[in-house]
Amino acid sequence: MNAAEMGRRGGRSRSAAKRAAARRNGERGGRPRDADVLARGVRDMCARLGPELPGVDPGDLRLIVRSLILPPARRAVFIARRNDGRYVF
Amino acid sequence: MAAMSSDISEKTLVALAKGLRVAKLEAIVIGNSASMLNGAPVTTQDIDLLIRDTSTNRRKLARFAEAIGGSAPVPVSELSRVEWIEGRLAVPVEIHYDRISGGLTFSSVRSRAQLVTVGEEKLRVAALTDVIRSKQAAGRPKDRAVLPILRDTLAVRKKMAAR
Repeated sequence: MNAAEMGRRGGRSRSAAKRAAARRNGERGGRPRDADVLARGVRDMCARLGPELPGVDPGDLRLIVRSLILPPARRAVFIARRNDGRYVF
Repeated sequence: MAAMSSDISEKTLVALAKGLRVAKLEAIVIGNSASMLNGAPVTTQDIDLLIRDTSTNRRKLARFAEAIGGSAPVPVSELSRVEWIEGRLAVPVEIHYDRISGGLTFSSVRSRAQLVTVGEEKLRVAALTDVIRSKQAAGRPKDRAVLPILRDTLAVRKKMAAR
């Protein structure tokens, strides 16, 4: 017996809004936000590595793990001096 | 939306890599830029490159400077062989020739360096062990200040690689 024989008349099981939301980042019903995924990844990795690296400050460990999880190009932070003498990131 | 700091830094790296590719100049990113690309949570105000000092590379370096909209390389001081280029990148580029502190030659640094992808481009980046070794040997206050976080980063990298 297939769905049609059971009385289903076709159509989609989810609304267009829900399908669109699933493709967007952080929407209700969709994927978790990238920031949440990164935060969870950092937290989990720190929880595993922390006991093995007692000499590393937990705050530094978080920064290091975060940096290592990010793609290399996103790790860089240059400090640039503007013409007016101010420094910007 | 305004550009985020990571956007500016990423664009800088991509422009640097593109400039090197256009000029066909083989260079290795060293110093704190290499530390950052190796995952150390540090910042810097310039990009240090290590190249071989040959007449061909001097010509390529001029092309590279042109590609990044920069000045001709200028010596940092009369006592130093290091030169710098001020260009359209967010930060100036410092050029080191043949060797760096810690008895590290271009070929030895190159043998341990990694190719890192930035955007559509690639950069050759010195290994963190070499950055640490050169900073230990240089021993300036700014080098000593950053060594603990670089050693911690190396330890974390090793643990993560072992998993």
